[in-house]
Amino acid sequence: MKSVCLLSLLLLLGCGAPLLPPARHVHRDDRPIPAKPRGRHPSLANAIIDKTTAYQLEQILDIPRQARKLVGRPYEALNVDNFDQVPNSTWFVNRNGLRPLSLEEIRRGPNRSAGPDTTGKWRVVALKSAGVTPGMTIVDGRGARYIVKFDPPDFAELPSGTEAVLSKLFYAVGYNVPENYLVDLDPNWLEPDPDAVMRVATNDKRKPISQRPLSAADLETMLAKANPQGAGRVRVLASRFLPGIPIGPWSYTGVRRDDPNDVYSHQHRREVRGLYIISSWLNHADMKEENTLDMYDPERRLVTHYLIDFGSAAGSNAIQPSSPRRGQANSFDLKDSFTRLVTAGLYVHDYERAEPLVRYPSVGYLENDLFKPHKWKPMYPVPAFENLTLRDAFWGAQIVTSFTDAQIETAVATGEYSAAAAAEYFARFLCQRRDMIGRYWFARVNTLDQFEIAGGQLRGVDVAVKRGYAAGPATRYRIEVRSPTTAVLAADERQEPHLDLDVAWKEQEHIAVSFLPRRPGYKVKPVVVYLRTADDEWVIVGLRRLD
Amino acid sequence: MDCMIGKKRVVIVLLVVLMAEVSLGQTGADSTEVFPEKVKYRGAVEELAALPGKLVYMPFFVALYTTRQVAEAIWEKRALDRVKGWLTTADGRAGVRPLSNTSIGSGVRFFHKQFVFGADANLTSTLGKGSGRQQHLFSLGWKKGEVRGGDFFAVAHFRREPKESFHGIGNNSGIADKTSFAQEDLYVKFSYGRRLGSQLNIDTELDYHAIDIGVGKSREAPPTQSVYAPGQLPGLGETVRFIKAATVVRSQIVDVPGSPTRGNRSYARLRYDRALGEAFSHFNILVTSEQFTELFYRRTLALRLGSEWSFAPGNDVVPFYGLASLGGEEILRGYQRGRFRDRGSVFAALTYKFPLWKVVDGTLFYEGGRTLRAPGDFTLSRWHGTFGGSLRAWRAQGLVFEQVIARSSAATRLLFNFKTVF
Repeated sequence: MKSVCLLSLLLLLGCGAPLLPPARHVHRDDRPIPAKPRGRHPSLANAIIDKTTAYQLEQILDIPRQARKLVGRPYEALNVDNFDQVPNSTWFVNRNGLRPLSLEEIRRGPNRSAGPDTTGKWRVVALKSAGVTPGMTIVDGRGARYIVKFDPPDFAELPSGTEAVLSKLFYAVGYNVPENYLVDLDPNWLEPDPDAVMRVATNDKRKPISQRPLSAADLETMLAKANPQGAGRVRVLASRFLPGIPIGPWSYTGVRRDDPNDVYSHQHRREVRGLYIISSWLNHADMKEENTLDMYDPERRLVTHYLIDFGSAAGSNAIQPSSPRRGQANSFDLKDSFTRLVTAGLYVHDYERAEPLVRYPSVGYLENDLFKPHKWKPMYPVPAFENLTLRDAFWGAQIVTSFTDAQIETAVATGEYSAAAAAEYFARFLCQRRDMIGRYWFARVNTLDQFEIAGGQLRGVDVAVKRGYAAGPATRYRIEVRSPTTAVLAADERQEPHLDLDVAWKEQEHIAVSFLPRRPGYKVKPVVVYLRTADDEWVIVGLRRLD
Repeated sequence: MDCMIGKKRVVIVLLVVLMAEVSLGQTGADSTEVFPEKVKYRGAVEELAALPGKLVYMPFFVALYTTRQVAEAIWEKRALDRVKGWLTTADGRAGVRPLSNTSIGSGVRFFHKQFVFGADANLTSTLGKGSGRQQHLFSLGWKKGEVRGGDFFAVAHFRREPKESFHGIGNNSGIADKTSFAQEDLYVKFSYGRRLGSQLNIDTELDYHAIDIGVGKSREAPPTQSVYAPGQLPGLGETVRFIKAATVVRSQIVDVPGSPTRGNRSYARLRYDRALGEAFSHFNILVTSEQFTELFYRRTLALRLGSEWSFAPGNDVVPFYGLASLGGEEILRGYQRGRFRDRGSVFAALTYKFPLWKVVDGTLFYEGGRTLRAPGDFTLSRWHGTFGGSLRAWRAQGLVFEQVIARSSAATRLLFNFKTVF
């Protein structure tokens, strides 16, 4: 009876028929849509409470989800193809994970020009006085519009450098990000636009923020705040306005209902789930929805999804260095608070013990001592991250580990740090964390991928071995070939994940080849590769990961 | 013929269904005219299985939805700022604020900066639960060293407490001895304070204070007047007017005033109460000192020691309401206000404070104290104790809200203290 129940449960959870090739179809999302979607203006407070309490409770009470977790079959990402990969879309473009970018491509990142025009005046069209860091919107001599952000006087280069570096890396990973340029601004370039407005905090709390025309004095006041030493040039980050019409952030759950191209719930998109791995690498903990943006292109009539604002990532917390807590706990961490309450504060979290050591103020707090790849936490719970499965993690880890030291150093160099040692320290932090991610996740999943047919062989690549996270000589590969009727056609154990394809197998409708790597202390499930013949040639038609 | 028409219909229906399937993307083909439907991440059976959980979740959802909307209003719509704006004149000089705590009840504070001759005016009025409990305080303050380098305050205060309790005098007074009286205070006070250094303040105060003791309104205890004759209990049944003069020294050397982890807070007051036309003149001395020590990572131990003494020179006597007392909202919080009264009291409180969140702490405390007839009676035995805990929200400048639960042999008391956060 027990076995019948278990079998029923397994069938219910869709675990049957592993020998059939996958037949997944990922919908395109670049078709013109009928109308511009409405703008979204989510509330951060609402989202934090929702994701910290209501969403968590809802997930706990979701019986099928819990049952799946219990049997180790969680909901997998929906938008993956037959090779468990994410096709290019308006969300993500496969870049370094698919083909190593050249150092020049890394250096250029999303930037498509030399930056704002520095030969003419910059018309200031809006000024932000509220908040701790001043900023402004300008239009350069060529008519391009930029958001200009200043560094805090006490931490020169910190947010601007971080944002410049991270935008290159996020772009190289495959996400859509704005063009960010570091510019040495001459204050004389600035002139208020006649129609410029300024948002100010008022004394009248009934209207806490109001807008009024911008004056030259306002500009001077802001510059004095941003440049207290009165230096001739001020380093700023100029972030080019994204093309199209902004329609608000994207959500980490559900879909944008008025965008018909948006058919996969965001928490079940591989690139959004896998963003956990990327963000943990770059310590991009400030994952609030406001740091994402959807842009509607009125000409192509489609929505493109962006990540924006990386000034509070890596070692930076916008106006000051990051702290040991960032990445270790949510901003409002119910679990940690509850732990302290029930232990009357006797339990001390590691991040409380850690010294907030800042070696170089320009790159901030960059330490990996507390970092555990699976325990990293964004500042706010992100539903997509909570749905992360081993397959998503493998996808992310594969991309993170695809970055070479040289690529990372090149990306960090775009931060234009005045202290070479600071840049070196930043790059070392990223390389070290990359390796921690590789070592952790590659020890938990079958790391075979990139299968191809060459020279009459089916060849896979053991990513962990290739990238140095596992010992090649200690690894053996158990290979089994089965027919659609599950009959074993061949079985072998090899030193390499390579299989000689027997012509006799071409009689089968298809064959399923399972690869199981074996090395000491490493227990994973096989990867099954499906082959068919077309015009008497072997063709890989799909891949199934059983982890 | 009918059969032919029927077959045609079936074919047409099948074609329509097939076309619909294709156009809806069920077969996987994309079209520029019709978009695919949202892709479901689980099937109908699992959706059905999820239903019971959803039903259980529904009431929580409603409650949390309300919380979220409130938080959104406060945070995003800046509701507190806006309320503050609506409760304040456009120039920010005058306004009204709510306040509430266990000791004084709930009410409002009116303020008017630069009200008269450059002084800031405050009027606080609170009403407590029960019959006629009220408190009104009007003050004029010249602050920031405006008066010869110091701060000057003029305060008028009226307080009515219809249910004060008196359990007898002495450390051994029993709960069964409880009686009830009403007390009305009216005073006018002038105080001048100077800052000596960055953490030390010295104030000089002069009061005119009228105290009227009436019959208590408590139904649980007999009136004090029915148990004690005026001769037995000095101060009972009379209106007494005092002239009081006091000197207060305060020092605060702590790292974060809202939630100290290191440092010391001390307070010393010497007051002389001279009754007009009565033999109730007496001195009152109150000294407290609280030392904060960080044990580890913002876990802090605070030890507070204090003593209060009232003594009358010559043949004068101390009225019972002028005696040193324990119980209430400050010390021995598990007991009612004025639970133990005598000429002297000594007390100690040990508080362990630990962080729960950035601006929220939890505390565990034990408070002990006893009253004394004379300093020579001091022993470490027969101390009354209270233990409990609290949750407190704070800002760097001070406490915002505190909810305390305190337990003693007499009762378990819930106390709260909400100070205006804006």
